[in-house]
Amino acid sequence: MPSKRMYNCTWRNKPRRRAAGKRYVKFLFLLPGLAGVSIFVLIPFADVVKRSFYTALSGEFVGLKNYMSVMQNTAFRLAVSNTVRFASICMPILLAAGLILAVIINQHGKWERFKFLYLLPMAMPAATVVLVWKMLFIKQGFVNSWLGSHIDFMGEDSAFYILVGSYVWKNLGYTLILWLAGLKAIPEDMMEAARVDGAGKTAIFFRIVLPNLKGSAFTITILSFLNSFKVFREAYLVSGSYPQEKIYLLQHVFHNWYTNLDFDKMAAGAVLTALVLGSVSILLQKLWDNAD
Amino acid sequence: MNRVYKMTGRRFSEKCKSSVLLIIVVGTGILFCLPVLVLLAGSLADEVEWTQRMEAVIRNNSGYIIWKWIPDYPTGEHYRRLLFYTPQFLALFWNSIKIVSCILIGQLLIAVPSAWAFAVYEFRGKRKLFSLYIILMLLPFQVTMLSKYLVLSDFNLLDTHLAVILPAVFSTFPVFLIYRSFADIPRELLEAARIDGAGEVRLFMQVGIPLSGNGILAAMVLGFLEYWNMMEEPMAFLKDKSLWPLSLYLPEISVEQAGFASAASMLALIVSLFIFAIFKDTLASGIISSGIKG
Amino acid sequence: MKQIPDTEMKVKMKDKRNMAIAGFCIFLVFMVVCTLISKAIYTSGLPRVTTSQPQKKNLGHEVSTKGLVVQGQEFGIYAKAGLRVATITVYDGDSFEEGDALFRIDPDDLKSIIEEKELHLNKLKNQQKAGSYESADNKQKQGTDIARAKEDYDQAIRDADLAVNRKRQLLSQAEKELEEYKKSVKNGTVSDGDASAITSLNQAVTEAKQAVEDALLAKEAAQRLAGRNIQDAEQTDSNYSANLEDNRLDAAYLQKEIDSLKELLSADGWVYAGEAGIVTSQKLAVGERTGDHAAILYALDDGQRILEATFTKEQAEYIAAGDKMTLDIRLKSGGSTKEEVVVSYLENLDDGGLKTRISLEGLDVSLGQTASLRMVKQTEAYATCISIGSLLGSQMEGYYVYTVEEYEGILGTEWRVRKIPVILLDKNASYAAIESAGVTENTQIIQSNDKELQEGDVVRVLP
Repeated sequence: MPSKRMYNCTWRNKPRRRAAGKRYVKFLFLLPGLAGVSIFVLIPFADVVKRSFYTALSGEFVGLKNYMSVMQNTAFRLAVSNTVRFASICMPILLAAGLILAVIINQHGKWERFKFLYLLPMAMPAATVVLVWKMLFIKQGFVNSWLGSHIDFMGEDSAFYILVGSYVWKNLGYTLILWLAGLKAIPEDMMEAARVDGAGKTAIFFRIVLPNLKGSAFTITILSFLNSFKVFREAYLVSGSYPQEKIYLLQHVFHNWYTNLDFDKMAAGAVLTALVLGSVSILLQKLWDNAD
Repeated sequence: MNRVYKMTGRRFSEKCKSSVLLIIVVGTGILFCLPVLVLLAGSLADEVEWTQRMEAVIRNNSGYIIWKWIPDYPTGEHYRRLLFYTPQFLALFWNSIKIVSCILIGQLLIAVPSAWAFAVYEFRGKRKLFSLYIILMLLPFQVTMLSKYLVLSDFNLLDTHLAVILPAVFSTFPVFLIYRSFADIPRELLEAARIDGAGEVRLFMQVGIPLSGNGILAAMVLGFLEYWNMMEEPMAFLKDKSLWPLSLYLPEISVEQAGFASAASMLALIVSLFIFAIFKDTLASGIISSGIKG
Repeated sequence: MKQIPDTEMKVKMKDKRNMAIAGFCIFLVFMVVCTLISKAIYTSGLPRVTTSQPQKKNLGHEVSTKGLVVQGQEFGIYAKAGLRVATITVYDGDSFEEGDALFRIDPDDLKSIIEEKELHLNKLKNQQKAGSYESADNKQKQGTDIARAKEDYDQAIRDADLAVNRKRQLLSQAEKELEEYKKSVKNGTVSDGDASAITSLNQAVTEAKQAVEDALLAKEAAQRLAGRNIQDAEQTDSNYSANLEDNRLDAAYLQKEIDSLKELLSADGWVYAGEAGIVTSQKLAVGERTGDHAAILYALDDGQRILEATFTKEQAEYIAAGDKMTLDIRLKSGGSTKEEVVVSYLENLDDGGLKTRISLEGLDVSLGQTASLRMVKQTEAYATCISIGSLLGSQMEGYYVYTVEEYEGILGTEWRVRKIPVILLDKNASYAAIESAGVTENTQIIQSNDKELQEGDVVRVLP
């Protein structure tokens, strides 16, 4: 427990300045960050919003035309459906697997050292992951040699599941750690009390453990969601700009629009994406109600 | 929790169950690490052996890649070539080191105070701003790629390392992570310190940071991994090849030189492993000591 | 409940961490070392080149050759043909004074030749005598021939005249008849319509005229023939007298020959030089007989000297009549001199080269000496000239140069080799004028390199 002896008491001699300075100081903390964020993140985004109402080439104002064309664009729709499908499949798997693993490990204290095995995949660069993928999944790869077949897995619908697997493989480590942290944070006395009351393990789990994990769950969900976009890197390195149908993601669409100089579509798509993401995150926030 | 179980005693089936679980946990863990071992084994095999192994791929026939965990003729030739005869690799290595160090230092200076502000202070629109931060954090790079490019171009930062460093320094991701550990500090502690007469800055430096030190470090480690392997930003903003980070060099090595590529990947990985090794206890104790939160 | 690790574990963790940090630092240091080593190896392995940029230049073509000083005038010493040479004392290049012995004719052989000639002379003299007797008889004969021919001539003329007169008479008769007929027609004694009578009368007239002309012609012919006979008769005389004259001339000539041979014999066969000189060409051979040509050709000591020089086919391109060249020559008195000379005489040689002769008047030089001629001809200005070492390739396969161009790589700005084909316009010993789409005035052309180069190689450019 941190003690009060950490700071010296000479500050007691300056009461007046404190009160006045306090209000502005807190902004000082925030300001540099905010300034930078504005310049490098907000302003570009505002520019994107503006662009979404103009055409790319001629710069004339076209109102919502870009939005219409984007929403009718088959590539965009395909990408959206794939991305949504991917997120809705991979995230629950990751969260559940992480939680299960965390619970198991938590019950056996000495096993905690093994959690670092799961962290290792996070360190691997995308290009390396791709190298291993290729050895596994090409026509003459390892998986084929185990199955005795010659399927190019990355060219089939199976590519989607490869991506899911890769995602779980990479992110399980950190998810595990965060769940563990959350589990450890549950006050021991609560657990003790429940047990004494005669609650079974399942009851304890669902009524005490899970509710207490809300904070962690929020963080983990956000992080997982964020990381689900990163699978684009591997997909791009393996299959290029136009991969197999089922792994054609949002980023592919944007990337291709960028190369084709379709900046207006890009802008409209970006605004749409941001709106969706925004509502999702606000929803999450409300659900977990954790923003302290 | 462990002690509770131990106190009630163990039956044989419990022991069996725990052994099975142990095998599952450890086994899966090792499985997860296999790719790294594959890489290691591959980097020690010379090109001749690789050609043999990859014969099926080269000839594009119906064979399979032959794999041996221990190479027939282990060799350090890839590492030798990489470290002594490829100055390009080393040049890019130092680029990566430079970029990541700058980013992390910048983030320390910018994100930590921001997170503190969100965690400790109340102000109008705080929730909205924070939500905004989260939304911005979630946007995939491609969405704002073009506009970022134009902003950087206006500042004449394109084709310099700053083009990659600056946007990353102001990323809202570490703010989000560190916010959590600042938010875990009990209010009472802060109030007590204030009553004792500590100014805000002192509060931050002498109470906040030490308490959340581990959380901050954890965020830094995560950030390191993220930026050591980042690809899209340098690809988009750095045209000059001499400025590229290591992560862009690896895809340039063709699969034909699998041995060489494995060695290069191993070296890139080693740095991450070192970071893990140095900070693993931090990660551990970071989690342990932040267990105050209810 | 939280688990606070006890102090022992904390210390262990700290130790482990310190070890890890140490390990990382060692790793970084190792990487630094590797960086230095790999850079060193890399740069030392790079070929080093020097470059230069093309310039605008006039190419100077140096034409130089060595020439030989030869005699401008040559004289000959003659010996009668057919004499056997016994001794030769001078050879090509030898100089001799007035009165020096040059060569010796074999006296014994000479003696026998003289005898032979004297014999011949006697024969001629005998022939002469015989010839003068014959001459008187012939004269008489000839007189008779002439008279007879003349008589024939007169006769021929008289006969021809008779014939002519007769024909004339016939003609006048025919004419008279025609006149009469005409008169009678006028008078009316004869009817008008008798055409055949007039025709035949006219014809008679015509024939008569013709006959007169024929007779005249015949006369001329006879005249000619007779006249020729007279000439022939007169002719024989001069021919005959010509033969005799020949004989006399032969005899006189032969006598002269014998005299000079005897003179030679009196000198015991030795031929002496009439003036001082230098032998340029001696065309005798011991044991052989002299020929028709001069025995010895020589030039005077201080005679005219000429420089003879040849130019190769390649050089010939640059030389035109009237060009000025620098002559570098050693003087007899020691020391050398440089003079400007004009090449005014050029002769084409079979191999495409040129030969020139330049007068060395006023210069005191010795025969057989070598001298050098040099000229530098400036061509027009070429826009792109490179040093000759930079030009690679051959006529057959095509010429090319290597250039370096900047290229941005991972290691920063480096230089890469490019191979550019060029067309060769002109060249001399130090420069080449080229034309190429890939070469501008800013191109860096590789002048020298210490390793073999290929397109795409990275090189180090020395300042």
